Amino acid sequence: MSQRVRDGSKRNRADRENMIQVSQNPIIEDDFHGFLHRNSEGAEQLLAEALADAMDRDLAGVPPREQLEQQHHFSKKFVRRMKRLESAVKDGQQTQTVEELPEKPQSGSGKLVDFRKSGAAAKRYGGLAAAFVCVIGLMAVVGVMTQSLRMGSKGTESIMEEAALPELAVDDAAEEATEEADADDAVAEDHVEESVTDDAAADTGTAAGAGAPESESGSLEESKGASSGAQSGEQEALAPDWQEQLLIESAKADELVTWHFQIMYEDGSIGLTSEVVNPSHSTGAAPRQSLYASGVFEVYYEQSPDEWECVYRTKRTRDNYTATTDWDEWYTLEELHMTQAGTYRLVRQVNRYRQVLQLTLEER
Amino acid sequence: MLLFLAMLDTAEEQNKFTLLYEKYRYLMWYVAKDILKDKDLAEDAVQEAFLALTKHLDQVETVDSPRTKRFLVTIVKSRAIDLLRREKRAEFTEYEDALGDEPDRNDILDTYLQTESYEKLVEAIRSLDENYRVVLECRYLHELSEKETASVLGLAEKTVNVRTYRARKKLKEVLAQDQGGNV
Repeated sequence: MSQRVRDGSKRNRADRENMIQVSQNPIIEDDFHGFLHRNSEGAEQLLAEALADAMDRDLAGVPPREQLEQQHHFSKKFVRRMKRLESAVKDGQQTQTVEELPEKPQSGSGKLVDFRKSGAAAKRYGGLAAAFVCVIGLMAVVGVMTQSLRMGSKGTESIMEEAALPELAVDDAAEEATEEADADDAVAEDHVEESVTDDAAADTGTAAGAGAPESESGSLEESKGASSGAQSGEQEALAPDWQEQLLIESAKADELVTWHFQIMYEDGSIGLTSEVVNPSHSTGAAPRQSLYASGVFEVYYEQSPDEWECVYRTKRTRDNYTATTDWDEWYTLEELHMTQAGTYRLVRQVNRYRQVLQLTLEER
Repeated sequence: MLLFLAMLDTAEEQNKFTLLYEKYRYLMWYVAKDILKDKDLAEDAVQEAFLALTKHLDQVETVDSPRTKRFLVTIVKSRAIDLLRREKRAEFTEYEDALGDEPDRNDILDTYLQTESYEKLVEAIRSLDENYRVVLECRYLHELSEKETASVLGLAEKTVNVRTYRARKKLKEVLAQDQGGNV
């Protein structure tokens, strides 16, 4: 019995129709610009105008803002950091990295904090600096623990999620602390304690300074409904119907992605590829990029409408996923327990988020 | 331990930042995501772009202008490229010229610019690697000095100098190919 894999990933139809745009930048036969610029001041001005034109043509394919707002909600971490940056700007500070942003806006006294030089000065004032760092570290730990307790008490995590990978549970502060600790940035390494403090303190709401700008900079604050909705959406993703949520989220991607069965080897292993189609090149040209499906986390089989059985779960843990993880990995159908015809959902772990693919196996 | 760094002069500049954020964050996120293919990393790129912008708010005259829009796009593209490299998702192969001699500003690219079809020039620019393109955008489109370009892109001045030269050379080669290889 041979089987044929048919791609069937779901995408939001309206988004797809909007993304399929006829290229608005046809090559202009009339060389009006060329003629014009030959009479211009110089080659550099011509190059400048060509650079502007090139950029404008690239940006012509950007969806309207309303559509982008529907497709993407900025994360709470992003909004929080932007608020802090705005506060720092208003208080007349300049910082090297986002991690250096102080928790509280400094007063307009002309004195600014340079955490890099504070670090250097700490070497000279070792005792004071060490005590300061210890206090910050303790505050960070308390903040993370407080946040962890708060998230745990909400009770929205599914048993399945807890049993599988507890470290993947939605925990804003812990995840941010982990991300900060894993940051590759040298400055982040130097100031990881401050950054954890920033995030933890912000999460616990202890910083009055973080609260004050909210009233002044309402434009920087994503609507609480949207952010809390996203947050509850993430937590709801842990409930039994989280796959539907992930499918909906996947459908919001503003890339037109199609999944294809690429190859079946003699040993039965299969390779899937996805193709990312740039809407501005949707004129029949070859796709710009291909990705390999890998990092399969779980596989679900549709027993009946709205009834899914988990038939496969990876034994790997999140610790195995690093920036250098080789994603090019093949699976046999038997390994994924995809042995009977029907509809399957593959849950992939893609960096820090998950992606759901829906595939149908047909008997030939 | 507190050292004085700088002070933004006016309330207008402080307000400008907020307006820029409000108006362009989604566009910048989209541009970054187009390069990074990752929504979360795109947010990081936007963050870093706005952070870099705080040091160059003086380059922004009016919030709502094509010039400002292009400037922000250039900044976020450069940050996205940096993140791409940091995430080891892409390798930028620096175009290598045969000699390490001093870049010559009067290279024959100018000849191509004046004689070649404007449309071909635009398409040649669009085909350039983004690492080269952002340098050209900073130097010619946004009219930044080498020092300012280095600051915006997070590069050394010498790197800007060399990369500008190599970008022009690469552009020349692309245009020369269109002409059938006649240099």
